[in-house]
Amino acid sequence: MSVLETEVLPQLPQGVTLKPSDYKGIKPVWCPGCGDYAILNALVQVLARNRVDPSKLAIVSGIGCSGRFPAFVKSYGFHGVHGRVLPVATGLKLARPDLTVLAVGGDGDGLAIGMGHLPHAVRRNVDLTYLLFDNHIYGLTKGQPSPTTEVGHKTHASPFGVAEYPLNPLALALIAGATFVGRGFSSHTKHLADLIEQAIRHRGFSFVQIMTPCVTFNDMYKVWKEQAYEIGPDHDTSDFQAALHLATAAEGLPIGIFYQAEKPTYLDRLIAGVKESERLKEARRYDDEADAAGLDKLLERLQ
Amino acid sequence: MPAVSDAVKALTVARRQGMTIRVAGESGEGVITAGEMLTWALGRAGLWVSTFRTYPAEIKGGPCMFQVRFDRRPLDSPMGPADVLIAFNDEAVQLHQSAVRPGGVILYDRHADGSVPEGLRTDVTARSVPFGQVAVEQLQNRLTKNMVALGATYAAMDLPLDSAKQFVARRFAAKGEEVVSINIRALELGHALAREQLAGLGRLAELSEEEEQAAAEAASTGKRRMIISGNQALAIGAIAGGCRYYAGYPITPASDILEYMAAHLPSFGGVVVQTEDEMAALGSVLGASFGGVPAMTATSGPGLSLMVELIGLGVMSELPAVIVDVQRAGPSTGMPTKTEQGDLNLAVYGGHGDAPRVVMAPVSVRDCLDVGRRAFETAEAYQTPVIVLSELVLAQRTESLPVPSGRDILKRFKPRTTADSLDGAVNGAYRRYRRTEDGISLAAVPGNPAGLHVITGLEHDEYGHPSYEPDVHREMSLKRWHKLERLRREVESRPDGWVERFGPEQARIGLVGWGSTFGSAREAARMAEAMGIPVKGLWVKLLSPLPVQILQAFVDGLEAVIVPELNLSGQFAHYLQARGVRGPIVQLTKQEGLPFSPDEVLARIQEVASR
Ligand SMILES: Cc1ncc(C[n+]2csc(CCOP(=O)(O)OP(=O)(O)O)c2C)c(N)n1
Ligand code: SF4
Repeated sequence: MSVLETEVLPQLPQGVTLKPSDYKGIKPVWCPGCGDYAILNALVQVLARNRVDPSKLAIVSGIGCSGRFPAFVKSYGFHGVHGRVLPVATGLKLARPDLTVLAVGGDGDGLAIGMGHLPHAVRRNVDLTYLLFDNHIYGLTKGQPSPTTEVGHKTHASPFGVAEYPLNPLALALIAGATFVGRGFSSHTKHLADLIEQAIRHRGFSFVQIMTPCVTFNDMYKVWKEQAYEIGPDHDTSDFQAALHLATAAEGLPIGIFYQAEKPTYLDRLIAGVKESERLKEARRYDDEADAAGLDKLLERLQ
Repeated sequence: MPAVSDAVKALTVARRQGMTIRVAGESGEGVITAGEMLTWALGRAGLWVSTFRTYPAEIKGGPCMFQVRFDRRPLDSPMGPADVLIAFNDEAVQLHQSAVRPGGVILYDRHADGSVPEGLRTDVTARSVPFGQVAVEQLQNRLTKNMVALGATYAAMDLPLDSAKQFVARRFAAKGEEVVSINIRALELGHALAREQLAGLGRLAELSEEEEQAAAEAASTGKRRMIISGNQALAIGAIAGGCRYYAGYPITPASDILEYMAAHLPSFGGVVVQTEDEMAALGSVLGASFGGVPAMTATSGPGLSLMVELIGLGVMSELPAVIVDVQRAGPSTGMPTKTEQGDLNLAVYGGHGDAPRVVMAPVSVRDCLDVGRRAFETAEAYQTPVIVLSELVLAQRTESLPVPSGRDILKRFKPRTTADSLDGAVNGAYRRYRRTEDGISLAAVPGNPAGLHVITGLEHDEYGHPSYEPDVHREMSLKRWHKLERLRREVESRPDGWVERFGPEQARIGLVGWGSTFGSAREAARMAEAMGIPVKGLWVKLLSPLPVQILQAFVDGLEAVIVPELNLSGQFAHYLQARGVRGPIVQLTKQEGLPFSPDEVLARIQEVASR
């Protein structure tokens, strides 16, 4: 089987099942009440109900409270450096298309230091899922404002109130050309699990903003609970303008899929463009015979 | 002006020791194409060729130069005085005539009024040929001037014009029949013109019969030569070493590695990405490597600066990765088209905390092929980033080399563990960072059900769980350090391929260095020896960990150790001392953006010898 024809969610051998709790790794170290617990619970539910093979799942993260996520899931994990989660996930998925790759990171990680990578990861449309844990604050560094913090919000680092206007991550992802854009809320765990599952099943780059309150530095539970509502069936997820409108002009906090489209991925395009695509499809399988012949061909060109 | 016959004699003598032709003009005049063509033709004729070029950083305009040195024996360096200068305009005469040795030849574009370029030297044979006029009047195409000049050069040198025509047909094939034919006509016109005017200006035909035969033999299939640049050699070496993922961000003079990989890696089943910046490039390389796929990026100084944080991550998480730094003059954006050996400190020390990493440096174009492969072997074996310090002069220099077979250069590391050979690990019990005597642990890659683990840039215990215990940090720091110690011991016990030595064992003056300075130094040592000053040399290709014992054994007993390097502060000389190499070190530094000529090294040798 070519590495490009793997299942979206590689499954455990037949007859083997795991409970959601079996997918949990080491004990989380988040503050009691942190929204991130609910995201973890949503994910392990998705994994269990799809009988996902943990050895074929890789979770990549940056730095922040959210960055600890991979350790709490029993799978392969890569806890990298601040802001570089998308490059790492991109390299991993392109090198190993047979894996299911999840990238997770905070709003500081993804929209401040790592912002430069977001539009480009989107443009490449690599088949991976990016979960942006948005708590509108820097949690791990103890409460400085993030790029999504509301204007006027007072923190130790913004004693007179935040002077910048917040970014709109959904609109950014849409405008950059993401083929799957959604928003979830940690308190709506079942809805969130469904959303994550659909994002993983989507072929291409999926962007999911997950509202997750930081109880210690920016407790938005009350506000978000009041604002959150599920996007109704009358929203056409293939309508880009409607999605943009919903992301920018809507009152409250709509959650669900904003936009979804089908587009060839980076690898699709590469394979289509390369004459020897048969080898590319067999990606990374070393074949001494063929490789030596290939090298001879390169050397031949230099004569 | 000396008689032509004198020049012929002089040239013939020179040719017996090899010869150097310099083509100079304005960028856009076809200097580089002309130089490449000569290189190719001489290589085809079975000669050893080494080239050097300078070009402006601007896209168009500005002076540029291409120098081709050739000989019947392998060459160490392309540097040295020119025997022939082909100048496409007066400025080129003025800029480059000082590089011509006395008695050499200058061919320049004829002035309409028959005047000579201002300040033209009188101790050379200068000949004007109407390159430009022929191109404009007979071919109605100014752009063919370089081909007219080249045709003339081929006549003067009595090189077979056929090889030039073949090159043109190949190089311009994509541009269509018409472009090919006009360029070929230009060659022929230049050739005919010069045949009349320059007949006998030192011809290759004056080779002895034996030599002719040897050259012809070499040109036939038995001992074929290829013309290859350092960047190409590094890329091919990397592919041969197993590279199957490449990511990079364009920067002079590393971009052609990206371009080469983009064109060729996919046919080996590899993926290439042009990323948004260098951090993304190295980040994605680490991601691919985590997936078990050998991966590489290449950049130049400013890009390496940006990568520093991720080099630390690679060291901490113990991921193999190959990072090529094709050095150019710095700091900052410095001089993008000029060479320097200024990134040693950054490569060896760059990063926060103690982050031991492997640093290698090829000494020649040929060596790039080997180092490209070896970098992968080492990165995989030691599970650590490997930085390869190349240099602009190695990257863009072309040389003629014997063609190896694909099978000979193909070399594979042992793949990281995909099977269930992981110390009896059941889920969760696998220790990715298990402490071993040499610091190397069994590494599982995703897909292996027994090897689930999380790698992290945080300090961690054997399982990869974050830990800030004093003991853990100490032990894990030692683990990472021990890997390099093992490499150092291994190289010191089997230095083959890791060092280059030259000169007589009993010499009392030594040369020690790294990288591209090797060629000029070895040549200088040869010249010194001919003058009765024995000099020996040691060039190390492994800079971190430094094979200190080998160096110390070499230095012991020497009266002087000259350390030539292309930077101002003497980074390598200081590094030797910092690593404990004790001896009478004499620095020889150069900060001009240009490589050493053998003469410059020779001058320091003479100075030291006369003390
Ligand atoms: C290069 C670099 N700069 C700064 C930091 C410090 N740092 C760690 S986490 C973080 C912000 C985390 O905020 P966010 O990404 O929103 O994640 P959260 O902790 O809220 O989940 C910062 C600034 C770092 N680790 N590396
Ligand atoms: S600081 Fe905030 S984001 Fe971090 S664990 Fe605590 S509650 Fe969660």
